[in-house]
Amino acid sequence: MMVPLLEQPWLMAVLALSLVSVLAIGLWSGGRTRTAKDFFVAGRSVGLWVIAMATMTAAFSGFVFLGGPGLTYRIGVASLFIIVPVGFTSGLLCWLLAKRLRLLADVEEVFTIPDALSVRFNSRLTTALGSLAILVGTLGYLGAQLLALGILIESLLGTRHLFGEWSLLVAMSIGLVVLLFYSVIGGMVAGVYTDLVQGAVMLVGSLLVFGQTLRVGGGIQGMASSILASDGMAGFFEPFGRVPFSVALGFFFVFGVGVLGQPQMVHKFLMLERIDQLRWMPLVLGGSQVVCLLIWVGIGLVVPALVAAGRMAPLDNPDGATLQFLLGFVPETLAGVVIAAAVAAIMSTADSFLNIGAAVLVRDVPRLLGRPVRRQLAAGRVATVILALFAASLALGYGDLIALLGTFAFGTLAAALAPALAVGMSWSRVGPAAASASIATGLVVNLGLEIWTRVQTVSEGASGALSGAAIPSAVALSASFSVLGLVTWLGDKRAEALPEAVREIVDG
Amino acid sequence: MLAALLTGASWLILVGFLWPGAMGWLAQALLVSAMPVLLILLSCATSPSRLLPVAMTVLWILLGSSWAALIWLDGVGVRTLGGVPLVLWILIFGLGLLPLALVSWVYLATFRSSGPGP
Repeated sequence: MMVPLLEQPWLMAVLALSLVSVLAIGLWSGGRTRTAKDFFVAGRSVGLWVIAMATMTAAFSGFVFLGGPGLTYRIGVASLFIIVPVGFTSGLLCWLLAKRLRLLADVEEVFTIPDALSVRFNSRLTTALGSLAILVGTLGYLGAQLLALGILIESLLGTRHLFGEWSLLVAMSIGLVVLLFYSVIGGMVAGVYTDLVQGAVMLVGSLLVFGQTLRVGGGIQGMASSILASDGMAGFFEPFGRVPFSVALGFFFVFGVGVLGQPQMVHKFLMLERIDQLRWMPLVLGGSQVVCLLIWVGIGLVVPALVAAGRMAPLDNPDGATLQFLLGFVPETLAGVVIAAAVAAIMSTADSFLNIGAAVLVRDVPRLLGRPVRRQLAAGRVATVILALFAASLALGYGDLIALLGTFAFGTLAAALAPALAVGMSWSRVGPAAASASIATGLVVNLGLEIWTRVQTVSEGASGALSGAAIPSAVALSASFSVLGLVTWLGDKRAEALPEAVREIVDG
Repeated sequence: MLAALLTGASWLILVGFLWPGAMGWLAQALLVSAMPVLLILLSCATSPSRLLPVAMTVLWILLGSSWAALIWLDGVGVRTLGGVPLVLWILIFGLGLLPLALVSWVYLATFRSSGPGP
């Protein structure tokens, strides 16, 4: 358990400075948010660096800072199969979606991913299924982020002994007030510019702490030799020593190809001011992701090395790896930067989902019902508050369920949306029937398999999803691609009804 | 053609994940590595660039050979290079940094700012 911040003034000062700057950006952007276009796509006036940072911070939640190193402690280098696909994911996003989505936004009013599905497939069913997938993913992701934010603030401020059973509620409320302040006032304008600051904090924090891990662990060689010399760390450096091959390959597949279905990332491309700015996007986005992931690799290696060398007690809870290292081996100010970075990562992912979820509620669903909302800016702000409070209530009332939903929200979005969006935007023969079948397959198979796996795990005492032959998301994602291809080949005549402007974008 | 390959690969990957023993590890890894390559090629199907197909073939070889090396390493125990386990070199450079450098360069080199293509 952490020492409360109040006993570490430098650490508290760094975190406070980070939160104050986020609030200041919220105030600044409030004056620049006058229309629904400003609120949902930041006025479509954002440049390369801001979009790249916003995409990176939306993609990387607190899991990169807190969960990732813990996972490495638990399963060894096999955890890296989750992050190494960043080598090609930024290019994949740009080739398949970035330019086409941005061009689509020039042809029609496209503020959201369901808007894009609607323009591309001209089908209420496809748009409704896409909206449903995004809502399910949003609730899971948002609830999990709010829960993580509450737990982190509770640990940092030591509110447990002050507020007892109300502690988590108080801690989560503190985080929610800051998050809602800038999300409601500034919408996506605040979202992307706070992401810029939060991204900078994440990059600096990762870089500095990686340097510290090398210093403490004696370089990569030093850490490796400590781990290899320890019987307790057997299998750590075997590629599939601690997880089955299918799980490692499943990680690589889902986190590599599944990014194409993540609305929190893809949505950012709709905000780009000029298409020619995309030229540098894979390098800037991929490069910033690599730097940010240094913390995963650094702490993931140094903590097992320290445990192996007897310099740190074995961890009861692997998720505590980052905090234990920060408190025991890192100067207080640097620890403050990294904790600020973890808070920033959680908040930036949460604000992206708040905006995406609000857009589904006030824009996509009413239009599907034939009752479009006229005052979308005001409605968007109200929906943001309602969504946040609903997700927070779910997180407080059903913490375990929300944490569970959060763990497979990425896979749900990947399986449901990646094939329909990515292939659909690149192949004009894909019609609404194929897209709908693919989205439905992704949703049903992923949720069904996840629940079935968890029930089996509880009843049979297996060690979680990693004990299975493959991760459910990998099965669901490949099934979703397969169904999309099959239904398309079986013939979907409505594909021919594509408007000329849309066909030109899709066919290139 | 590309769409047919993509669909075929998806079905085989699904079979591989549902029945892990149905095909060898290397075949599964090569199929999964082919997915991003096929998707990129599909998205650029009308691109006149000659660089793109060559670069994507290189990317597939890079990802596939990295997986092949990892599968080989799984059977022979931990090997090191310069004091660092070989598995780390392969994961970080073979699957991570080298593909990033290749993809970023090819995107930059083939980018067209006007028109719908890549």
